[in-house]
This record gives sequence, structure tokens and C-alpha cells, in this order.
Amino acid sequence: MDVKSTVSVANRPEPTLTQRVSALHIDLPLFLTLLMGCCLGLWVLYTASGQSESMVARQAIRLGVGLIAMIVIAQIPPRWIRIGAPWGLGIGVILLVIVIGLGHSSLGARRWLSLGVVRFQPSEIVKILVPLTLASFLYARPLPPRLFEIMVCALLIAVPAGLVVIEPDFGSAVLIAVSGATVLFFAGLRWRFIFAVIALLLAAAPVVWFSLQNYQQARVLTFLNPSRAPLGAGYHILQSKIAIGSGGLFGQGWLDGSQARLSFLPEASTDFIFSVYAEETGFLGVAGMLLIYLLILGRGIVIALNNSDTFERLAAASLSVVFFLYVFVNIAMVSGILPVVGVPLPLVSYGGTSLVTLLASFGVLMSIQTHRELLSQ
Amino acid sequence: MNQPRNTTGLPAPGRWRTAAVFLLFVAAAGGLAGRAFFLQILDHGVLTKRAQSQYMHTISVPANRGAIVDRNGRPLALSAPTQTVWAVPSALLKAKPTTLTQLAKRLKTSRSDLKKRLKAHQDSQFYYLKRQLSPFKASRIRKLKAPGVFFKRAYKRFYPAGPAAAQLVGLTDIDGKGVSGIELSANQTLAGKPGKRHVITNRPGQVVDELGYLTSPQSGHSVKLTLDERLQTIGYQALKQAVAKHQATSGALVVLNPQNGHLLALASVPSFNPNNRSSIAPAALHMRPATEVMEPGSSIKPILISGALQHNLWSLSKRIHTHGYWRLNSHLTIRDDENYGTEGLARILKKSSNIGAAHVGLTMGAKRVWQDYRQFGLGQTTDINFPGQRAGTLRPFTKWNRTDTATASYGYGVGVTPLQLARAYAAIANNGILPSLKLIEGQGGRTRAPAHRVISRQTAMTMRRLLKGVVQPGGTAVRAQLAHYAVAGKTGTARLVRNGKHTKKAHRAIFVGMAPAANPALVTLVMVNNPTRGSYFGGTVAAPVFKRVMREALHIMGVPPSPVKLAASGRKTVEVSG
Repeated sequence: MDVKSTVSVANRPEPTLTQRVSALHIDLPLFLTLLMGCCLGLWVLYTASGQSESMVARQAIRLGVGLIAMIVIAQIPPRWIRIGAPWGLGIGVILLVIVIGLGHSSLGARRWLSLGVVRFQPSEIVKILVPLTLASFLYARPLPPRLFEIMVCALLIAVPAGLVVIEPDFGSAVLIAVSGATVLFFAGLRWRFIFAVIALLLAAAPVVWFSLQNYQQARVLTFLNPSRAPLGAGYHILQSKIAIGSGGLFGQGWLDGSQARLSFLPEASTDFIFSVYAEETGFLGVAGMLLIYLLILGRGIVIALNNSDTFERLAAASLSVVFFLYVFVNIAMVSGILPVVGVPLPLVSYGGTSLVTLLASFGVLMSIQTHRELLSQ
Repeated sequence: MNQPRNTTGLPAPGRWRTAAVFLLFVAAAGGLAGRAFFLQILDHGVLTKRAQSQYMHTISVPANRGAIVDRNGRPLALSAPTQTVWAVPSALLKAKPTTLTQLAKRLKTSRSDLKKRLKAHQDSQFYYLKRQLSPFKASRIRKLKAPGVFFKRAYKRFYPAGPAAAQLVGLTDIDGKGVSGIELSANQTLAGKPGKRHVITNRPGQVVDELGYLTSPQSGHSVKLTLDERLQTIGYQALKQAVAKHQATSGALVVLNPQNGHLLALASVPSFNPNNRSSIAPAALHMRPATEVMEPGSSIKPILISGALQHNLWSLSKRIHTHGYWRLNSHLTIRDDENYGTEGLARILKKSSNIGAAHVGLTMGAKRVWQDYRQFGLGQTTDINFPGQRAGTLRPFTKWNRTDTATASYGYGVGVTPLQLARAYAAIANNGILPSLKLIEGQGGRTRAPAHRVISRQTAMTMRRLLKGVVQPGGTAVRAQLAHYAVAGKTGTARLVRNGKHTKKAHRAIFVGMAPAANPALVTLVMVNNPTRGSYFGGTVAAPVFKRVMREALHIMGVPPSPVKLAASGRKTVEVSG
């Protein structure tokens, strides 16, 4: 592996390409796989948006912003990130409160915050700040975490997640909670606590069910029985399955997928973009896309395993895992394995905030990887 | 950077768990791939079929509807193929500016306007650019090959004769199906068979692509009428002017060939423009010659007298004394316009004496009168199969009392349609044979009542001679007289019923006549309802219309002028060899 080779070369006669890129704090394997995913995303978006050049152009601009954010963050030493994360979360929580406040006073955009020309969703930023803050908190504390640490972490998760529930965006809240939980899990949380939490969740399930909004209840019911409403909520999942299935082994060809082109597929450029891709590229395309996502995940895991610093290890592992969790939930959702929860497909779905924050989180991973190497020299 | 690393003995569970989660996710990715395999490989066939059933459809393609033409092949109704041009706005907006400019020009608009309209419908997959475009103009647009522009075939029905034959020809509904007139009665012949086509539709159901025909549409057959469009137009115009001139409510006109029963003109006023249906008054929809039931008044007298002569119940020489009125019983006093004194059949017809007719009728008796009327086809639908045609009313004679018989003799208490009355006169014109009426050519065979003799040739000739007197000076219809043809006919001025009673204030003016009297080529009936300005008599309102129509109709039909002796007017005898 290139990491080891870099470390092993002590007298360093000539800098390799990897080293040169490392000097820019860019992790080449991660960068290349991400770039592949992004290009694939733009390629699919063109057909999924009904060949809308303006949409592709807008997404490309966001992509550029995201890549710049990623590179900028990669320059920041992990220590600063560790110290800054809690402050960032604090700001994020304040933004969430503002969004909820505005959402209640004016009607309409509850999840969006408008800063002049830029609109973004604070909940997306909170999604990466929660695991970073937890990792920061657990740094320099004895591990595995004891009850006190667990209680603090629970509070750090519950406050932002609770605010996001109020928005209401139940899906994002669950993902925030899960991203926090992964940090605790990788910190070596004892199994007895894990089982206790699972038991608690099961007990709370009925309470959660009755506190869900009607449309959320409907989604779960529709998932359990798609034919319940073939033209309502079940219609989406049915059309999505038809689209994926129509792809076959080789797909119908780029721009030739019937389901999206003939507007049978809803939300074709956002949540259901995977179905468009699957219809046009077939099983081979799906396998290729999954491989790219696995490579990104794998690189993230390698970065986590190569670090013994608590913050760096926990942050890298948690961010990588949350990234792939999104991929899994989205694809499972559109292929009818999970209920429709409104999670976009990372790097591919049309949308600004999630793409920029996602690339920013990979900037954190690059910072962790590249600064560790410089340190070890 | 110089801070002590936190390495307090935790790598073991953390590293182990991280690796485990990675492996778990690899398995999860495998699970997703498995799910994709299940949907894309195993369920591929089923799901592809489902997809196709959603977007592939068979739609019906309209067939060209047959034309309706007159006896000379002039079109009365015809379908012109048109093209509907529509666009997918988002696709068309990507066209080259020059293409868009050209397209806008051919759509008779500006590029900026076209762009504005397309942008307004950008989110829609379907937008009509132009409907009912001529095939030529559509082909010019097709040549531009603009992206996102599609064509759909349609037909538009045109009625070249306009209001003149509107009720007769009828109308089609929005789906091109006949709903009235000939369009309705001959719909099966006209309709043809729609074809079937495979198309791809999007979710809103709009056709976005065509895959080809399953079956081609079969055009309908045209229907040829016995009608003559020229006579129809002349008749309609003359009738319309008379209705306007006398401020009447409505009118009907029938021109027929008595020898074969072919209907040459069937006009009805008020009418409408079938090419512009934005406002059609209900009254304008009636095809009055077939649908209006009327009391014929004095115009029934020739039928009565034909029967009396035929059965030798009255002779030409027999005379009666009239005093201007006849108190038949406590219910009925019959009146003439003036005291005609002593009169025979010729004078009864010429002066239209009700008292004389009542004497004839009462001499014949209820049964005979009823039988003769029935023989002449009164109170029965004619052979033409026209939608809404009415039978009229001829109550059974067993229910007639003396009063009923007397009034029936001069045309009250009997309800006939203009068509029935014209046909009855045609028997007199056709030397005693009542023709079977015909409106659509080539529809022979199945007639309800084939042509049959109702009076002898001799009786018919006698009747025509008597009816010639009506248009002579001293008769009621001198205004029906033609310069070059001998006319035989009879007026009728019937009181209209208001609030269940006959009123002196509203009338129906009728004239039925034929020419040339010696061997009639045409029978024409004119009826005008409720003329309120000027005169209201059959001889003054209806007879001039008859004259105007016949003068031109006889000429058009190429009928040789008669050797007429216009003694009374003092003109010279016109001798023209046939």
C-alpha cells in the first residue's frame, strides 16, 4: 500500500506523485474515487433531469464549491478540527433554532435557511458536526466510555436531532442519531449498553409510531404493503422497481430509460435517481456504482485504521460509515427493501447542501490522513 | 502536534469493530447487488412488461368521414384532413434560433411570442401549437424538423351549402359522429372504420412517439342525395326573404319531381350556419318539411275533390248555391270571404270556397273523405328515413261527427307535414300515381309504400285543369303565374291555434303548385308561418315564393316551356316546340 511505502522510505530521494499530492493535503485514492462518483452523478443527472443542461450546470457549480471546501478543509490540521467541531455544532444548533423559528413565523420553507443568494439546510451541516463533536469530546477520555461520557454524548445527539424532528425531518434526525451512535460504537461502547439502548428503542417504538406525522406513518404502512395505494405513496416504489427491473443486465442505454423519460418515475433527479441509473445502465452499471461506493468506504476505513489518535480514528470511521449508510438506505429504499424516508444518494442526487457537506466531510478525512503522514515523517 | 497521543489501550475493540463494520457493509453492498440481480435479471421480464403496459398503448385513428353530395355531385358536407401540431415545450426551446424563427413565421407569430408561450408551459409535456392546420401548412412545418414538435391527424367537417341545407344535412358531434339530419340517418355509411395505432404515451397520457399502424383506418363512403344544391339554395333564399318581408316566424319549402318522387329541395327557415356553431337557436334546428305538423286549410281541397271525382260522388256540372255563410249546426257556421253565389267545382277551387268544400265533403261522407286522405298518404310518415320525421294526425273517421267531416273538407282537424302534402299533390301531377319519396340515391328496394295509383289518369288531368284556374285572374293565386309555363296549384290560408282555439289573428300561408300543368316536371310547396306584416294569405305570401323558385327551377332542370295561352293578361300566345 502506498501509505506504508511512503512511511518506509526514510531517506526520501525523490518525491512520488502521491507525495506531491500529499503536500497539498489531498489523499489521491479518495480524491480519485470521489471524482469518479461525482462524474457519474452528473452523467446520470443529465438524463434524470430530462436533459436539462441548466440543472446539470447548477449541480456542477455545487460540485466545484464542494471540492474547494474539501481541499480547504484538508489543509486544516485535525487538531484544529477537533477543537473547532463543538463550536461548529453550537452554531449549527442555533441555525436550527432560527430555521424552526422562521418556519413557524412564515410558512413554507421549514428546512431551509436563506443567506442572500445561498440557501442551505442547517440539518445537513449538523449531520457531520455531531460525529465530529462526539469524537472531539471522547478524545483524551478513558475508553471505553463510561456512563458519564455516554450521558453527555446522548445529550449532544439528542439536542440537534430533537430540533430536526421539530422541523420536521424525521429521516435526517434518525441519521444524525445514527452518526452519533457510530462514534460511540467505535469508541468501544460496551455491549451491555448497546443492548440496553436497543431494548429501550424497541420499548419506545410504539410511542414513536404515534408521534409520527400522518405521511410518515403512511410511508411505513406503504412499505409494508406496497399495493395498499398503487397510485399514492406505493406508486413511487412500484415505478422505481419497474424502472430498475427494466434495466436488465446491460440497461436500456443512456437517455433511453422509459420510466424517467415518460415521467412515470417521481423525484427522478433527487431521491429516485438511482432507479434512472439502474434502468439505463442495467445490473452491470449498478454493480459498478456499488464498487465505487465501496472503494470510497474502504479508503475511509483504511484511514481510520491507520490512526491511533482517538479523535482522528473515531471521526474517520464514523464519517465513512455514515456516508455508506446513506448509500445503503437510498438504494435499499428505491429498490423496495426499506420504506421511503427521503434520503438522497450521495454524490449523485440533485441537491446542494448535502453534496457540499459530504465533500467537506471527506475534506476532514483527507486532513486526518495527510497530516498524519507529515507528522510521521 | 506535540501533545501526547491518546493511545490508552483501546485499539483492540475499536479496530476490531471498524473492520467488522466494514465487512458488514461489504455484505450490505452484496445484498443491494443481490436485490438488483433479483429485480434486473430474475424479474426483468415481468417488470419490463409492466413498464410497457404503462407506456405502450393502442389508440384509435379517425377514419375519413364520407362526403354528402347532391344529385350532381356537389358537396353538401365533406371532411377535410387537418393536422394538429403540438410540442414538448422544453424540447422545442432547445431548437436553433433560426429554426424557432422559421417555425414562428409558419405559425403566423413572432419568435419572442412563441418563446414566451413555450416558456409558460415549460413544465408540461404537451402544448398545442396549432390545431386544424391544412396538410400543406403542416408539411411546411414538418420540413423544419424542429425538435419536440409532433403531428396528429384530425378531420374537420365543412358544409359548403351553409345555412341553405343546414337542417337537412345535419351535424356531427365532436367525435365526428352524426347527430342530426343525413349525418345521423346515414351515419353508418359515412362513418368508415377507425384504424388502430401503436403509440408510446407518457404518464399524463400524451402520445410522445408512434410505433406504427396495426390496422389502417378505412374511409367512409359518400352519400349521394336526390337533392339539387342549386334549387335548395334558391328555395332557401326565396323563403328566407319572404319570412323576413312578412315578419313571419318560420317557413318550409319542398321541391320534388312528381314522376319519380325525388326530393330536389327541402328548405327550412329559420336556419343556422353549420360552419360556425357558436350559437344555434333551437328553432333553427327543425327540418320543418318533415317535422312540422300543420293544418293544411284550403290547400287540402284538391285532395278532397280528387276523391269526389274519382268516386263519381260529385260531377263537374253539379252546382250549389252559397250565400257567404252556412250555419251547419249550433257549433259551426262556415264562412267564405265573400258570397260566391252559385258555384261548381272549378269555382270552388278558384275562389277557395269553404262552403262548397263542406258540401262536397258532407256528400262524400266521413268514411270516404278519410279513406281518400289516407290513400293520398296524409297522416302517415313518408318513405324517407329522416330523423324526427312526424306522421301527422288523421283521426279515424269513426270518431268524426258532421262538424268534423265539414271542417276536414277545408283542411282543419287534420294534421299533415309539408312533405305529405307535397307528395299528395305529386299524385295529381303524376297522372294519379302517388310516388314514393326519395332523398338518398341508390337506396332502392325497401320502401314502406311503393308508388301506387290513387286516382285515374283522367281524374288527375281534370284536377290539373281545374287547378290552373286558381292562378288565373279571379283566382286566389294569380301571383303564382309564370310567364312561360302553365301553373296549376292551390292556396291555403289556415288559422293558427292559440291557447287551444283557432284565432283570426295568426295565420299560416300555403301554396302548393306544379308546372308545366300539362305534364308537371316539378311540384313545389311553400309554407310560411304567422306572417304579420303586409298580407297573410297563401296567395299573397306563399305564391310569390313559388313563382320565384319555379321560374328558376324549371329553367335549371331544363324543362321546356309550355305553349301557354295567357288570354286574360292579353299577351300573345307563346308557341315553343318541345
